[in-house]
Amino acid sequence: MKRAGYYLLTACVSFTVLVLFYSCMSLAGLLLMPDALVMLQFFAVVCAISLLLFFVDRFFSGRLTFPWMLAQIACAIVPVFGLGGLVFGWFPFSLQAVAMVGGIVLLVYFAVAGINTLLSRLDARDINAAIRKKKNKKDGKKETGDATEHD
Amino acid sequence: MRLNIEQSPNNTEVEIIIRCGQIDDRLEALIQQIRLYAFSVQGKLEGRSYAIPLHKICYFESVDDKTYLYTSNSVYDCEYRLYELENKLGGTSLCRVSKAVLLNTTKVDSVRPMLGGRLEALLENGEKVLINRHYVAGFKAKFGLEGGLG
Repeated sequence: MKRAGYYLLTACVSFTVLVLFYSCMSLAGLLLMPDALVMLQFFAVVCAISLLLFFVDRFFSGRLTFPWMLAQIACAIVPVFGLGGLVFGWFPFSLQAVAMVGGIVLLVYFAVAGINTLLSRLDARDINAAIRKKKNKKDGKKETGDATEHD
Repeated sequence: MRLNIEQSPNNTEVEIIIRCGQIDDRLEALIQQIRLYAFSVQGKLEGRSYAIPLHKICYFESVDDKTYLYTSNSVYDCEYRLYELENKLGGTSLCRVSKAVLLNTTKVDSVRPMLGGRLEALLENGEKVLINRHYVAGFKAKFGLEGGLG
């Protein structure tokens, strides 16, 4: 269940980044804001991406490698072009449209990866603080012990 | 707190009884320490068996259906499977950090963040162990910290 929660969270973060991107671009007059149906399709696609990521992570259960990152990016691109482009008809398969859509996919991917890395940094900070606290306690006890022996 | 020690040649094994009204954080930490020092795991090296006390074990690793026990400077064969060790030693400082590794959190010197939500633990003997992002919450819990999702 916890693993499923992680992938659902990833889907929600990706969807949020996508909506924020479209909102900013729409306010700048560069893109039209999609309607409710397309928003729901966006969510379906990010969920499909999360599902593929689940299987890729299981396959690459070892160390972080460049092929793993490429596989992750492929997990993002395949549903967008397959579901979004072919099934939902979001965009034509022209060079310009493919380049723009590919760019958005990479933007969302790196935004989510950046958020994960930030959370990781916070976790590492908290754990290191807990380790230092334990070590300081141990050293404090050792010093007290030495003083007693000399007494 | 009172400490009673009864030493006698008639006592064939060490038995520790803790009488308390309620188990608080300090007592829980003491119980964890006792478990760590009380348990030992059989390890084989060059045909000989050794009883390795838990506080000397850095981590267990499963490779090709075999389990290996790592101390600061030696590697032993271990007859137990990782899930069996996890069940037996769940209340100690040992913690699953990936599909194949059970890490002794008391041997961790520091951690650093890696890409993909993972952490890398630097052990006291200089070895590095990767903590998979799905096990970070459980790892944090061993330090009394609350974890998030995944």
